[in-house]
Amino acid sequence: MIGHGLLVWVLVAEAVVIAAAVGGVLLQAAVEAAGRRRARNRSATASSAIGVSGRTGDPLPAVEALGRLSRREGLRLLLDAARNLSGEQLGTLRRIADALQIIEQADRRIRSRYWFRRLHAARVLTALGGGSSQVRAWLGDPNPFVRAQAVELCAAHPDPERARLLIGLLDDESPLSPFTVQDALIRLGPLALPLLVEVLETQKVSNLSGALRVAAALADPRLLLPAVALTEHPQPAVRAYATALIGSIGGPEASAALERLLHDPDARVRAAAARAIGTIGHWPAVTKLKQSLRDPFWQVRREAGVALWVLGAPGKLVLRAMLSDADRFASDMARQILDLPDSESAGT
Amino acid sequence: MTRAVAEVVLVQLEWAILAYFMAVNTFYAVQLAVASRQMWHTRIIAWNESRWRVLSSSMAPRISVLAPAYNEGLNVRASVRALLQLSYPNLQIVVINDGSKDDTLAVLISEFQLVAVHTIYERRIKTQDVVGLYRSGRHPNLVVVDKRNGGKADALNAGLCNCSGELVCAIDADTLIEPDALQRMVRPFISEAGVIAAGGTIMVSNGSRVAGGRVVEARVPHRPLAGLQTVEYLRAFLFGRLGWNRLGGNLIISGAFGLFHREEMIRAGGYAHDTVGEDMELVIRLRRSALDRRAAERSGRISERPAEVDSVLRSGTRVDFIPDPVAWTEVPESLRTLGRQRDRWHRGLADALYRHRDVFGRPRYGLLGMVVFPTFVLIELLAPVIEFVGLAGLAAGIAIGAFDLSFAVLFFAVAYGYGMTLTVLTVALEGLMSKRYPRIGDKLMLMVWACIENLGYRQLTVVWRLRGLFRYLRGGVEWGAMEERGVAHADRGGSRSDPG
Repeated sequence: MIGHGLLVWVLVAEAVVIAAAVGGVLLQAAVEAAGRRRARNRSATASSAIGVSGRTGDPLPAVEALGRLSRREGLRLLLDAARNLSGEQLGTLRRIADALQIIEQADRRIRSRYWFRRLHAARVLTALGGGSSQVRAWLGDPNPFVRAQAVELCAAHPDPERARLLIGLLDDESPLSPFTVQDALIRLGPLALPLLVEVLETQKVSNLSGALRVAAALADPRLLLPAVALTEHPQPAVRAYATALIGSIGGPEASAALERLLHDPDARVRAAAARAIGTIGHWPAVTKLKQSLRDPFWQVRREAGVALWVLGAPGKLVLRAMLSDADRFASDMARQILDLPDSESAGT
Repeated sequence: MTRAVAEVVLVQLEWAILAYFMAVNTFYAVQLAVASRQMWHTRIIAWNESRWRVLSSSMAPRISVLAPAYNEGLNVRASVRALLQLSYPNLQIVVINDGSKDDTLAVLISEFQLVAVHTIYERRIKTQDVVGLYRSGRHPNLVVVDKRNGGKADALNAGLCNCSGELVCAIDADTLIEPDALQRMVRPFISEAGVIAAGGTIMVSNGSRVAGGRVVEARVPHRPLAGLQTVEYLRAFLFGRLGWNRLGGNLIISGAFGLFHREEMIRAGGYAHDTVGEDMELVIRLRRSALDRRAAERSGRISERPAEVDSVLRSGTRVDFIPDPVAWTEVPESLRTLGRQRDRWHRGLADALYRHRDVFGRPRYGLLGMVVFPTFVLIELLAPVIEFVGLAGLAAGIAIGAFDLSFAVLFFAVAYGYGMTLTVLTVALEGLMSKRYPRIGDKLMLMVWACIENLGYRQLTVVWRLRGLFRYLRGGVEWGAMEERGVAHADRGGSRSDPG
């Protein structure tokens, strides 16, 4: 009896939950459908009004049209429009948002103790061009996604002060940081360059690898000398990135450094040096690359082989000479680079 | 006396099984709660997210999409074109011609203006010989690897060795990937620490409107078999796997749609040839390999793995599931094909768990060994056995009069009612959060399928899974009809891994 009773109660509870779930979903769908029907024409009108306001610079038509929509729908239309606008038109959009108190609400929410509200506000302000005075605070936000949004704002609306703040974030240990901060610095381009040169010269940041990656993307000649100096850094990763940077810049100082780096204790550095020699076309290094074909690491041998191929006639002469080298790994790599069949398959 | 003992045993057995069901479903309820929070979290992160940053960033990690092809002459053109339309800034498509006997390679050469290039690659995983490597004059990011036949796993491994991406995307040819799916799939790799693999949601395309290789309008199937599988996939992917993100990490990434850290895959040895559950087996091996290496690094037995030059990715041990990038697959609509598929999936599950049985309960493997693995064994693997015993016990109990029919019906209703409740809640949450099916009719249809799933269909899957387990115990690890699945040819299997 007890067993029966318990089972019945459980069954009733299950039925109630199922009924509530089904009812809830259908009710929500019905409400949404009704709302969409009501809002369809108004949304279309509001979108047109935003377009008119954007062209004329007068926010009033859009403010009136958006005022007849729900706040959520109005915000959605504004953010959709903001993706495609810039300059004065974006400024008009900002005034529309101001008039609708969207900016004011975002400014309040940015100080919320809930990260999701801060993120929501940060995204609204980034899209509509606001929040300039709060960037520094955002960049120090405890939530990594809010910080990432602040980084995006800096990239979208750069200035020297923001570039300096981003450089400081190179050492941010959040997993999100390597991508967002380095990506933002690359986008900043010339604004970030003097700061990067300073960082590489003084080695003030601990994440030199990150700074070097950004530098490699910018590949400005002013970065060459600091990069050459960093090829003697104790960390192999730093030396490897510095080598890649040198290869993307080139020049006489680069060539000398790269030849030296072919003998680095770390395989990644040697591989990067071989690749870089090919990239900058430094053919006098063919003899040294020949030695690199005998490197114990496949990646180094491959990069050396490809570099020899890229260097044209001098390199190909070396490759042909290596076909009969005593080191079978070196001769095999030479054969592969020259696209020749192996002795077994050739029947020799 | 014997009858009395039998009655007592049966009653106790049934109560024990009911307790098992309640415990299992309570665990699923916890997963659902965790997944709901994850889903909400993902929605917050994704709201108005600027994906142009990934699209236009030189820091976006390179993704190589591996597409094995075997005798695909008729369909390979369209399949490769669909892949080339994926929206991602740093994308490489690697088609591996696995010794096709038809004109697959000739079609590729002609259609994409392929030119033979030097085959210089490090054979870090042993495969059948690569006899040619081709690049496209028209599509610089398309590479075709021509090799001797070795099977799908072998082809994927050859692709692994010949691709240049930091991340590798394994897909099935009959899977329709949303154009911006890769932009979303890459998110955990650049925003979380230590992700080595990520899976996305697989949804059922049956009944939906497809145009140009894309699902343009998602609809819930009206046919029962496809409709019931739709609900299954929703439950398994959206909340089953999402829930695991915070409960120790996933053990399954669907072979139809997954993104992997290439270097970790190679270190783990690539795809295994001799299993039907290669996707699950690979994920367990990946996690295990990464955990073993981390333990060795911490103890100083090997030096810490240096960061790759030119990579923002940090390797680790996590396997995540991402709810919002979606791929669509067509599911079987015949009982026979579906039965074979579920049979194979369960054999694959059993095989993968058996191969790595020494992970079970070992603290060295953290949550993987102490929570995830035991859960998969006790719930995913053994559930059909327990369920079958429960049903058989119920029938036996009725036959000998141990319990009356009303108790049996009540018992059945409660046990399956709990499962039905969770499924309905899953569908409800999908409706609230994902809104893939905006029409009221589709939502209602989903609810209908959710309610009737446990009234026959679920029991059928128990039979198939039991059969698979039985066949595995008897030594059956083949694919059934040795079907070769490749770029444009599949057994309508969708996800290789049991949706759950």
